[in-house]
Amino acid sequence: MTTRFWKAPEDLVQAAPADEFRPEVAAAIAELRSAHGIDQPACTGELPVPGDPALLAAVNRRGFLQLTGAAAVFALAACGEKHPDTLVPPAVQVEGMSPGEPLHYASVLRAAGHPVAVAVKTYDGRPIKIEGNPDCPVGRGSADLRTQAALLDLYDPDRLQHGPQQRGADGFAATTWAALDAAVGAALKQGRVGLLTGPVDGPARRRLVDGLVAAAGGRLTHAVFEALPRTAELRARQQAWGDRPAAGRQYRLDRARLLVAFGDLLGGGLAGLGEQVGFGELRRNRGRVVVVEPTLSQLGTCADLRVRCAPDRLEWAAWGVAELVAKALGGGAALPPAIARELDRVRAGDLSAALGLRAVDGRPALEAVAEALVANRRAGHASVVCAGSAWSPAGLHLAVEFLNGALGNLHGPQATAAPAGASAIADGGAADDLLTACKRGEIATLIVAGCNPVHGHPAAAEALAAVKLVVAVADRLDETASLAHWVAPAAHDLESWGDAELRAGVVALQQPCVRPLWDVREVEQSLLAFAAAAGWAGYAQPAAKPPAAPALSVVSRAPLWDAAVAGVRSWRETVRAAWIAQVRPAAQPLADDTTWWSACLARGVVELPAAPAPAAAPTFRGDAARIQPFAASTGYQLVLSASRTLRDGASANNPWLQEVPDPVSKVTWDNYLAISPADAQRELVGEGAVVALEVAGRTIEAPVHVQDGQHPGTLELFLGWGRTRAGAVAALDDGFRIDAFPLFARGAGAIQAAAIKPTGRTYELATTQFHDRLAGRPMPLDDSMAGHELAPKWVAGTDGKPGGRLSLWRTEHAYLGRRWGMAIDLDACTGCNACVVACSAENNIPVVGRDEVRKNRELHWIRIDRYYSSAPGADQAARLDVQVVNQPMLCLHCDNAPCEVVCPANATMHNDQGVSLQIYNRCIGTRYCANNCPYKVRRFNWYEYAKYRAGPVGAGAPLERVARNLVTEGRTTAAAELTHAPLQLMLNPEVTVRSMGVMEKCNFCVQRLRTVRDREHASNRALPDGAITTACAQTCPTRAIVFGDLNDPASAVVRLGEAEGHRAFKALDEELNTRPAVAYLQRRRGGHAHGKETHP
Amino acid sequence: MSAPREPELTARQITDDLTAPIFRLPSLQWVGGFLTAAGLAGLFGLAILAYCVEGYGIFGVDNTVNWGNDIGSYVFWIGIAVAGTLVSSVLLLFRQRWRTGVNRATEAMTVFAINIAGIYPLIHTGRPWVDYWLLPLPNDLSLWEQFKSPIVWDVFAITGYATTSVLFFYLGLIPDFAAVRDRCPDNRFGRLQRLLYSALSLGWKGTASDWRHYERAYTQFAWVATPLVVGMHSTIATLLAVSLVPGWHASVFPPYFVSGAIFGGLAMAMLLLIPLRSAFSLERYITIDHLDRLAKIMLTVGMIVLYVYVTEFFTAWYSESAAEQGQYWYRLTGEHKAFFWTMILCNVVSIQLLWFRSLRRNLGVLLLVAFMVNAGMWLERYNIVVLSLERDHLPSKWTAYAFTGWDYIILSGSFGLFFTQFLLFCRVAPVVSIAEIKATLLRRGRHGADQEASHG
Amino acid sequence: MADAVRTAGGHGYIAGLFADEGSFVAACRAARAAGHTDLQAWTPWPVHGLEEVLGLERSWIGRAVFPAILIGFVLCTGFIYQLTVEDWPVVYGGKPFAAWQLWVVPVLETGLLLGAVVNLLAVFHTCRLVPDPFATLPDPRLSDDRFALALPVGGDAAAVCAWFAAQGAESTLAVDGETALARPRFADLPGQEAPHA
Repeated sequence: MTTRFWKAPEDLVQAAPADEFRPEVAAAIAELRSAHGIDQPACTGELPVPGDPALLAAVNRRGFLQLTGAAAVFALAACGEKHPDTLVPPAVQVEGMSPGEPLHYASVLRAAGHPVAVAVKTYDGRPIKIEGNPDCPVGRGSADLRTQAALLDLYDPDRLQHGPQQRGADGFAATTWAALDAAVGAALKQGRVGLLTGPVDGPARRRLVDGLVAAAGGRLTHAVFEALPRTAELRARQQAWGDRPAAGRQYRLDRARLLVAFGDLLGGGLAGLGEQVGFGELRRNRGRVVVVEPTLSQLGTCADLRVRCAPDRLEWAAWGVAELVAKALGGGAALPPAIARELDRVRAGDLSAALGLRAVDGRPALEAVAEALVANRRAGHASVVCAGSAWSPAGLHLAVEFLNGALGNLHGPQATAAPAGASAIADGGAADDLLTACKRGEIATLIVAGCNPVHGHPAAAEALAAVKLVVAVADRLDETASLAHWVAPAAHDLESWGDAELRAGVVALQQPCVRPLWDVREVEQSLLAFAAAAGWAGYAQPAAKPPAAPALSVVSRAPLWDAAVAGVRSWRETVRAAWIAQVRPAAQPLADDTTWWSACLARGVVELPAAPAPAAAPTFRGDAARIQPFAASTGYQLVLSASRTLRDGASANNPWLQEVPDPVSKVTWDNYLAISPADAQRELVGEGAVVALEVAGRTIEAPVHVQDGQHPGTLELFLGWGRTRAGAVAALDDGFRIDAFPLFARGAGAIQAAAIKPTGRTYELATTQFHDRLAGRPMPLDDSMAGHELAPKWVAGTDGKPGGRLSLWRTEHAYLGRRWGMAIDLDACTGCNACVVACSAENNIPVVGRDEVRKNRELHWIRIDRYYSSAPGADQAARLDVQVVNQPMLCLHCDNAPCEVVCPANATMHNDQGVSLQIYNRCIGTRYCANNCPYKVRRFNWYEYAKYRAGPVGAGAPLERVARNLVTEGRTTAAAELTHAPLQLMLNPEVTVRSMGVMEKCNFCVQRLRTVRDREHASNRALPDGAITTACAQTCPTRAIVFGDLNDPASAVVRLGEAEGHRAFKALDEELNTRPAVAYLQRRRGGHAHGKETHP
Repeated sequence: MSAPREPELTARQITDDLTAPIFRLPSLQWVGGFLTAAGLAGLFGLAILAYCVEGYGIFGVDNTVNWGNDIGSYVFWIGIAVAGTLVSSVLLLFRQRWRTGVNRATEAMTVFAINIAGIYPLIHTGRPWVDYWLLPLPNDLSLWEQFKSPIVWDVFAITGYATTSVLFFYLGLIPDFAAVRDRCPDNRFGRLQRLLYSALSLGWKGTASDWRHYERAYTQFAWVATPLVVGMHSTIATLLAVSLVPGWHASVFPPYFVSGAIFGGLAMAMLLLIPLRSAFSLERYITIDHLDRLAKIMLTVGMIVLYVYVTEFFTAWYSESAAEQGQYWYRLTGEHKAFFWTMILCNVVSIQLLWFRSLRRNLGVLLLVAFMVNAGMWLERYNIVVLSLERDHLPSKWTAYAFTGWDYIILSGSFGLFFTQFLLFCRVAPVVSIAEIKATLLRRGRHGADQEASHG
Repeated sequence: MADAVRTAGGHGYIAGLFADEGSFVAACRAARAAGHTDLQAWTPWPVHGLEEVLGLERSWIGRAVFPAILIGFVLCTGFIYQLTVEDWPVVYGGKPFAAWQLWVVPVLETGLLLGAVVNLLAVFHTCRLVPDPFATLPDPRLSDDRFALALPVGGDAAAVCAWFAAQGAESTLAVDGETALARPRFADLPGQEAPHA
């Protein structure tokens, strides 16, 4: 017989029945199993009794060797850490799994502020990268910035690691789950109970909360806490249409051809991933974007027509547009009479002029906006009108509702204002009421589960103090948990079961991708355990027989809490039961429960038949509406926007999010006060001047960022910063940690009067871009710059000028197989940074910290250049009306790469697929390549960045650090190091971690290309286009980045080149003949009626 | 014949004058200077240690300006090194016999400057411990250098030039070491010295036959060193010129750098010679005529450098390249314009004093001008290397470079290292070539006319 | 010949010490005129024209250096060609593999460096320059301000001394053959054979 290779006993027993050695081998295995307590009787039953003397006699040479081998395997496996359940490698392979190959698990993450369906790439049981779930109709395989960054939250060492905590006289002390559950259960048995949770957005979660409320018999009040509620929007919708909406809308930009926004839709997290994906579709449909706003927002940078407007005039402008649209369209829509009267009163000839809006093409701005809407409507296209910012006042929302109604965006099959299901950000009223009740002492026990009201709600701290027993279910001792009496450590989303409704009719299943790192419980499991301890019917389960060896956590030796052992209903089973009971009937599946459940887990997303949009136009009922008085504004108006990177600050301890530059200002690591260039000139403050901001009786010191495009008299400060107890990263020293939530009028949306006073001090904001303007450099970023050589076809060698340029070299290298290339559509890029973080995760790019960013040493392989352009002879006035282009700049993989020629050490070269590679272990760090790169996309490891979690600490005092490093070999740093457990688990094993002194840069995710090449070689079949993509292209929500094979005429990138080649250009290629493999598609401006002449 | 040749100037007198510093205890000034210089050199070492431990991040460079003080100073020291070879080789080939008064000191300057210039690129890499990968050493990966890289050219150029200039310097020293060997006093220390100088002089005998080969080889060295020095500094210029960086990418660079190097190197030579001649009472050997001639050459190459400055701006204007024009406009008006205008003051304005004979023969003026030219030439390299990088093609990554404390330490430390070596040299070797100066000053008979001409 | 000298009483040569360069050169000329071909001269500095007086030929060193430079060029070119074209061609910045224009600098530098090294080695070789801690001259002032001319004794030492005195020599001293004729090793070189006057 032939030799068999085997690893696990199942192999031998089941697959080799005729094996002559079977009895003795199996017996030995059985013995080993029993010795090791592996209770899986796969080999028992038909075997001789171990120790039988006949058995020994039967051992021949080969059998002896096999036994010896088996003993060696088990002996080796028994060495080291005692994880009994990982002793035997899976020789009978789990379906679809092979060692060393990554697995993707479908799950759901809520780090973005709304649920996003993801596919989590795991290597040997540890998540290393988050990707969008390609089966999800909302995200379509993309993922946004904060979802990408959530990976780092999973491995955050500042999470609670040591089990439940009880607050005593001298701080928190570790306790046991049993003690916690007993204490909370006892408290739940009497008195009123408050339950404050994060969004309850899936069938199972909803069922859980409803069940708890029912079981408590009316004593339990539940409220959803959301730091950035859409209360104003919901109230306006109720006023406008008479219904009681439970959640905000999702706008279907993919169906529209025109977006008119009074505020920011993209930044600040109020828009979901669906809107971002839709924005890309809007652009590909040649849709236009009109933005009326006081500050330069992320959407404002993408605007084709941008109208500056004072914050308190925004409502007036919206009604002004509404009036013109209603008039033009007729059809019975009429403005509320009070508002029409007010408009007439204010208007002296021209409302636009009265509101201080500059003319567009010599016409009043409001007319231009209204005409765009009307023309779009007359052409039969849908549009979207929205007011997106956190501060948008209720009156503005009402005008927006009126406009959407008048334009027919709310009904019919092409309705662009789609119901968002339970996922969208909720009304903040219930949470306010619950906290008020707490404050009045009406609530005896408050459970705060999975949210942090003390940071996001100005009254929460006071309310919590009035409650007898506060229980926090939180992943760290955050602002809320640190005020609680008991803290139940919560699992990260990637360690938890759960579900979510992504959009009405689209539900997603959340499954854990890793066993909990520490002894923590899912939030819902904690609630179930509390209910069980309270003796509420149905939550306790008979305790299962305790297994011999309890499961251990992933990074510590602590045994994990086990629902079955504790006799509590398991949350996993609850989810499964809820789905089979509620989702399965609606999904109308064909298979049985188990198969369907497995399919759901594999796919992650289930589409249910959604309720159709109303066919008939709803009737506008807001006739009683009033408009806020038209007062002559004096002084400054402060608006509070959600941070475009941190949103509400829930992930403030995430260094990736701290370090990505703000999409508009490019400031990292700090909150700042944005002021207009005109005001900066008047107040004689410059970039980084620290001013005292007085608002509503408070004074806050903030560094100033002079934001071009900002309306004079407007100040903007950002919410989400200033977390005090988020962890070591958020608490890094010497920054401006300004918490703006105390100034935030929740839900109402507010514009507040403010004053600023220079303090005379300055603070260096860490920014990734030091110069904003093009300075006359001929970059054909948009189609207003004529006379530039475009690349109608960028496919290799066919860009129309093969021999047309002077060159010393007559030969060109042929790339005959795959030839990788990329196209980036500047029209679709919103500067959202999702690609930046995706790249960091994929390529193990460390964070360098605030000091290093200040020194222009950030390490991101992609940076998104933001260029302002304004009228020639740019003066202060022209800086108010800037046009913006976002240009993602990564290594362009030039055929004639200037960097490669100058490297003395062969550390950078071209491979045969047209990719410029960097060979880290060959690099000696002369940095000539970086000097000679005209795109400045090479990054240098100035320090041992990979060692640190948030940048080298104390870079300002090198002598001290040198001394310390010499003494301690660099082990003592204030912040945790990246190489500390468990952060190193996050690293992608396919990518080298770079050491100090070497250059690095984008290499088109060469590890992915390499996998493709291996797979193609193995199967001798070419993988289809799209199966191969880089991390940035994969995650881009607007699909602005397209990656593919330039030698494949059917690839998306080549087809895009053929369709859009008339606006393709290769950066600096005309000047320098670098021949990049990355082509840019110009921003369209001239193609838009009003985009052309946006300068006065 | 303005240099007074005193009647008692004999060969013995010359030998005594020139070997005296070797056999006497150092003066307090020397000790003070040496300790200062050595202290700075120690700081240089400390900075290198700090950077090896911490990373190159301790210096002021960033992802846009990847080369700062390191490469600027590197080119500066290379320039200093060039001038020594000019004096010793080129003047030898042109049969300028007056070079004998100054060639030893300038050659020493070359050797000490070239080793500092050699250190700078080695300590500007991210991983200095693998710098040896730049040498063509066989290895098991069959990986050699990348010969298309101008950095590899630099390695070859510097190595070749440094080796040649050291050999040249040493060859010149052999007969003088022999002279010192035979002057060693007969005491305990003197016998030690004798042992040392016997070894150093390689048993030099000075027979007629030896001198014949020696002189031939010496001239031959000049023939090899002259293309080497021009080629070497042209290579340094090419290092920058082959790049795409506006402000570096200029075909005028090789002659520009060579003339600039001679300019700066002569200024440094003057800075060394003037104190040296008074400290060691060498006024009869390094005469005011020598300094006058050096000043004339300095003025000439200074005007060439001025011409190149103008050419650079003209070329930028004529190129119609926005990047080039932007670069030079930035130098004139940008936030670091002070560097540019100070350079103009030092390199262009100050040397105009040298048109006047009386000023050329005024030691104070010469010292001032030489100092300014040195500062100006350092600034010139700084402007070329740093300001060009600050404003290249893409506006979004424009930054402003600034020194950190470590940069100051490295820069002053390199001067410390240079003066440490030079001060040691003054005390262990004759600072004027004994054999050559005797041959020049004491020639009698039919060679007298020669000597008159060269010293007139 | 050297054996014959040694047999003449252990003092093979007698050297005259001159304080004056002019009388030294004249003495050399006189010695040559008197038919001496086996003579040795020491000078503290190179005396121009002395080689003509003594009948020495142009140094051969120059003929070695130029070939060395050429060999350096060829070796370096071949080396780079083998590495970048034959052995492991890699695309750097789109340049051809045999981008000979970019090899000029290493080739030039290698050649010149080889020339310089050969030059130095040649002078070390011809002048027998090796680190020698016990090297001495017949008179220490020969490296300072004295010139010496040594003639073989040839029988009558007093006559030689008298002849030196007549030539203006300051003094005379006996020099043994080893010291005097560092030269004999090269005596068979063509350049050192004195032509007959």
